[in-house]
Amino acid sequence: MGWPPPLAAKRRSITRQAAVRLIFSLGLFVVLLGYSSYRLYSVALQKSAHERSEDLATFYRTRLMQLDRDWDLQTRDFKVRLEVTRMLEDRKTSVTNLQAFMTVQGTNRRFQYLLIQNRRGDKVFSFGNDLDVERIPIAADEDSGWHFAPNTGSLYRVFTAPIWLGEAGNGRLAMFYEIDNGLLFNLATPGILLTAKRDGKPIASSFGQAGLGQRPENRIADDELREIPWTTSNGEKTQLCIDAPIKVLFTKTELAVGAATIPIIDGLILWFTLGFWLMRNARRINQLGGAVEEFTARQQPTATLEEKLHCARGELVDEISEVACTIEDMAAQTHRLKSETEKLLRRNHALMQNSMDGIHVMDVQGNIVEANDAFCRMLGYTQEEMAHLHVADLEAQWSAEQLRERFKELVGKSGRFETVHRRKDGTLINVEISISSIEIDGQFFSVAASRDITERKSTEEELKLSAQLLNTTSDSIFLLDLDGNFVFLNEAAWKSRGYTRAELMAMNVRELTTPEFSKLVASRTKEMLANGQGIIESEHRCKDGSIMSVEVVSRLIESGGRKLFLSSCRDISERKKNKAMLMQYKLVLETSIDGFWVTDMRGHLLEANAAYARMSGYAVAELVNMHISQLEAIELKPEDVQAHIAKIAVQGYDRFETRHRRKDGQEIDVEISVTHMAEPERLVVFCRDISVRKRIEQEMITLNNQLTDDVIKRTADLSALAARIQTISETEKSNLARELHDELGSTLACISMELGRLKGKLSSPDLLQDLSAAKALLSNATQITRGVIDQLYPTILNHSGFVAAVEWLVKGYREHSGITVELAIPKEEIAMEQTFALAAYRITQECLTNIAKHAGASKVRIEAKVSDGFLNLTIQDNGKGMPGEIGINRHGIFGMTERARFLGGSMEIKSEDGRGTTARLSLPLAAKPNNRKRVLVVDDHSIIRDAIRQLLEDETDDFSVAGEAADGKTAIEMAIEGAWDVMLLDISLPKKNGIQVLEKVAAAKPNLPIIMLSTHRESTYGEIARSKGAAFYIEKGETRKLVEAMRQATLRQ
Amino acid sequence: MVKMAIQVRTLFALALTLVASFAGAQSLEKIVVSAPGPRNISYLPLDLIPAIGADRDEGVDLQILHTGGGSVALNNLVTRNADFAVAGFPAVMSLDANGGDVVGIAPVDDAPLFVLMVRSGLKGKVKRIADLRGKVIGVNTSTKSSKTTSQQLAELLLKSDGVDLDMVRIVPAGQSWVEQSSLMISGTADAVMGDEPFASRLAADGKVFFLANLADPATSGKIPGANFLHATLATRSDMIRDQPETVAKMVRMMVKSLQWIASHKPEQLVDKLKVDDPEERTSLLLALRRYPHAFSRDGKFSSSQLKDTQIFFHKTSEGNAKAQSLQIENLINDTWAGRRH
Repeated sequence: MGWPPPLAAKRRSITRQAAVRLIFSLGLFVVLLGYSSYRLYSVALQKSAHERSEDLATFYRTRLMQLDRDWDLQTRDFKVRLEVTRMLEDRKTSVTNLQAFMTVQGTNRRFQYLLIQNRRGDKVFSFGNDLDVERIPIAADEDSGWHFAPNTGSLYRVFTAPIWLGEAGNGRLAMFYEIDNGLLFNLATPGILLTAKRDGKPIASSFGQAGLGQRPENRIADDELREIPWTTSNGEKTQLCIDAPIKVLFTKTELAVGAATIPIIDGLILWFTLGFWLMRNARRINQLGGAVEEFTARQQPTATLEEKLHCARGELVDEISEVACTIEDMAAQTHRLKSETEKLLRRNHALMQNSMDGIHVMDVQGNIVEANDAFCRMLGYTQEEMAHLHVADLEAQWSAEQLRERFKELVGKSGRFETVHRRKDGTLINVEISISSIEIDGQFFSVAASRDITERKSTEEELKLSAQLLNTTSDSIFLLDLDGNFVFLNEAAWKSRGYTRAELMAMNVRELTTPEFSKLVASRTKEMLANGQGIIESEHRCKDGSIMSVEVVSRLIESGGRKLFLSSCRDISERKKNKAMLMQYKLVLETSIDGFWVTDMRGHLLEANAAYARMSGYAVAELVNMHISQLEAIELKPEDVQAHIAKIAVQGYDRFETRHRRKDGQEIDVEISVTHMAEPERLVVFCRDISVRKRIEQEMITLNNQLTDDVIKRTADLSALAARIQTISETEKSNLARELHDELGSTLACISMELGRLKGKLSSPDLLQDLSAAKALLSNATQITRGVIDQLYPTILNHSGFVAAVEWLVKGYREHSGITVELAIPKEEIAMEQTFALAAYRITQECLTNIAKHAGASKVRIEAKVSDGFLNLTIQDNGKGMPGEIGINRHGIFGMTERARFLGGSMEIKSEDGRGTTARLSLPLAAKPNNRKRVLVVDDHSIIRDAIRQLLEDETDDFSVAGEAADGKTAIEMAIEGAWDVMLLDISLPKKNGIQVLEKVAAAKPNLPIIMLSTHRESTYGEIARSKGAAFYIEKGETRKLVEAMRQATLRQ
Repeated sequence: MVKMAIQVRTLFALALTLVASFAGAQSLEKIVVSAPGPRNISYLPLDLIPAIGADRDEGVDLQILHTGGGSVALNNLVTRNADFAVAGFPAVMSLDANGGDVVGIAPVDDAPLFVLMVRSGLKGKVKRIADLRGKVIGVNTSTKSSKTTSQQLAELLLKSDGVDLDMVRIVPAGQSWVEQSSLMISGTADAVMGDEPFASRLAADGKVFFLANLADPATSGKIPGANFLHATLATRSDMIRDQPETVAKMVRMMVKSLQWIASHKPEQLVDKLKVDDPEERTSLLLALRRYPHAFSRDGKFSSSQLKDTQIFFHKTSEGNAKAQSLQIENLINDTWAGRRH
């Protein structure tokens, strides 16, 4: 990869090269100077540090000797003090006194331990920090020495002196001075780290624990380390290690400034001595280069060239000025030669530019050397663009390789050929090229003259194409003269009629036409000659004798100086047949009794029959272009109409009833049948007037409603009667139970007491035996009587309540039936009106009896809960269940259900074959304030719920809203838990939609009538809702229908 | 043969134990603390640290360097013999006033326990402090750069009773039982500003009687800032700067020891310290029961106590301009111990 020309020129610049070399030499000089300075500085520093460490070693040797001397003097001082007190001479002197003497001396600041021993070496006295030393640890003939305490790792310098012990003679005194951090801290000069070592192991440090913990590898490299023996004794094991930082001669800043100053000064010297001279000559050479570039570019002497050469010559006469003079001469000669050549070229150029044909000159590689204006115009290039092109850039027919081969062949020869060139805009042109080869200065060139033959080629192609088109079209093309003789036929003309070309060419048009139309040929020819063209229908006879209906389009043309008819014939036999059939259908529709119309897919009527015109009161012409919403009596939004059309388009067919408004404003009921047709998309509609039928239906509904009301009233009367009978029955049972208890029970008790009294009077064993038998019978009769009383009326219910009564009932039931009963009822008594408690008790009793008799169960669960003023009682067994649908008359179920319903409650029984039976009773705790049926309203809009509540309050006296729910989930819970007579359910609900709620509630409470209430049309959801268990589907707003539906639904229940 | 195998096994097990203990010891960080003592009641929390293993819990091998006075302990700290020192805070302030580098990092005591005891031989002759004129008085050993709290207190008491300091001889009395008892029993000193439990022990033996007791309101009432902070854990500023982790460990150990004392009975403390000598044990128990609030319970500085300490020190150092300008807050770093108000 090469450098870009300007960058390459800069790199070649001698000025640049000179500057680079200068900088490089200066840099090298700086590096070498820096390195050598550094080496010199390091050596100087090391020598300085070495001398300093020698000085430090000498200093600390002196300090250690002085310390030893001080300790020795101190030892002797203490010896004298103790001897002066003479306390050691008196054996009676207590140790306490000696200790007190030592304490007041402040000894613990001076030494760590003092030990006195007698001549035999026995310890006489010791003081100070506890040291496990019983004998002086150095030889008797030595004044000083060392003691190392291995347990603490402490090292002591020990000094001894003889001490007078009186009659015991001279003993020995030894004082222990610890070599600790504090000692070295006081001994060290600032910045010096002193470490005492024993056998190479550090004992103490002037830096404290931190100094002891410092590892050799962490030491600063610039430290000078020296070790000196503590004493001058031979084999001294204790060393003082002196660690002193090397004192640098210069700071880093000083070094940096020094290092930077030297190369700057050196650089200035170099610049003033060599740099200036070098740069001036480099600039002259640079000017020479510029002069050469200028001459190369201009090829003639210019002011710039003169100026550059003048600068290069300068004031000096040297090699550079000589080169400048030579370039000046060469420029003058070159200019003269160039002028002559240009004259010659202008002449040739004029010749080329005046040529009509495009001329261009190429070298043997195919590079275009020159081209005239005609050639450039032909290909859409400018002269400058053309000068940079290769012939392969123009050539569209041959590849570059083929072109090269062709050029090789043409060297020294001439030739003519046709090819295709590509213009600058990409279009192709056909060219005819005449090429010849010429030689200039030993180099071969090709001169090519090109002519545009595109138009000629195009014409030829068009002719070929026309012939092909005529033969491929399905229509028959005839060219015939004014006498009806065929001049030209296309393939379709003779093939479709079963002839060969030759056979048909030999015929006249009158022979081809049937006699009926053959007669018309002369008049039609005359007419077309007058108009120049015409469209006629005719019939051609095929070779097999069949007749072909044709539509002929003819035009008069001139060819070869004579007038001819160019006719195009199309077979229209099928079209004619369809047209006839369509006419028949139209007639049928026109005469139909039912209305009929066709609309486009936007609902606009395209046509209508007379029947619908009569039906609607409009004229057929008025109906066309009307929109179907204009005919509808029910107001429809455009989007509703469009949605319905879209639905029909999908289904393909729909049938529904609606109402239309006639032109005179009268409304009629109609039944509509719509069919969707494709290609073109249309709706074909049949409409039937069903007004009469509808009227009859309405009358039937009215009659049905009246009947329903009668039935409801009658049913209510019957229910009231049944309740009355129930009440009377219960009252009678209660009275009978009381009579039995009071009369029969008392009598039996009296008899029992009498028999007891009689037993005391009888002595005969036989009589006593008879008496016992009579007592047993009496006891049995008493038990039976009690059972009958309890069956007739559970007195416990009166004085203990429902819960106690059920517990009592269950207890007896367990004993008699042997069935396990699980009781889950409230521990507290439930406050219920007597009638309701008795009903609940009776239903429970009835259920348990049924289970014992029919279920074959081993376990029963009774669960009672109180919620929202209702007792919810569930009795579930694990018996065989009741197969099939549960009949309302079986096992007293009807009675129980009616009893619950009359009291405003409900009862449901669920059973599956082999999976037990579950009875659910929901009973109010007390009588309702009114006897309206309880309605549960489910709608997410409170305004709707309020409207329904108001409607039922105002318009009915048999329904009231007893519960409301605003979402699907709440609705399910309320519907299942509560006792309702009817449920009104919206479809669009949050959490769960109406259809889902319907499914759940219908499964859990199959007897609860559910009425779907929605804004959606019944046609949309009605069928689905009914299939899921809804009793009715009512559109919102149909209040009358809603009330009727509620009544019918509750009646069915 | 079997016997030999058993011996070999025993030796191997012993070797393993030794290697394990050596390896364990190797990993412990050595910390040296200098404090007066031993068995001086004011410094018992320090003695307790290794006894309850608080140092091992922190990975520390704690070495205690006992001295004859807080000033000597502080000198050990300054001269790098110790990393930490425990001393009376007035002694710490005294050292700072003399240019020493020392910072208090945790309180140890809650109440200063000093007793001015007089040998029994002077009973009847010495009835009040003023009677000590012309007598020899022992105090905890001071150094050139720091005056012990004991000496500061003794001088303050003497001055408060009008005794010129030139009229008494102050001698070092150390801060151990041997030192203080020997001075009293031998009669080398007439009175000693002594420490507990030594004072109580001597009094129980009938060797001394108490002339003043700082725990007695009659004595403390005379002394400004009598509730000063006594034993305090201190260190150098370079330790705080270079080894904050070590400082944190030391404070944690001390706090743990104080909390242990606060949650145990005196008998348990004495048992833990393994005080076997019956007399020493009895006297120590007596002192611990007598001064139930001797030690800080939570190891936190008390602002009011620090204020008292400054008052006390300023009172004892009257005439010394540098000491008077000293502010106690500049000598406290409660980063680790915390502060209560």
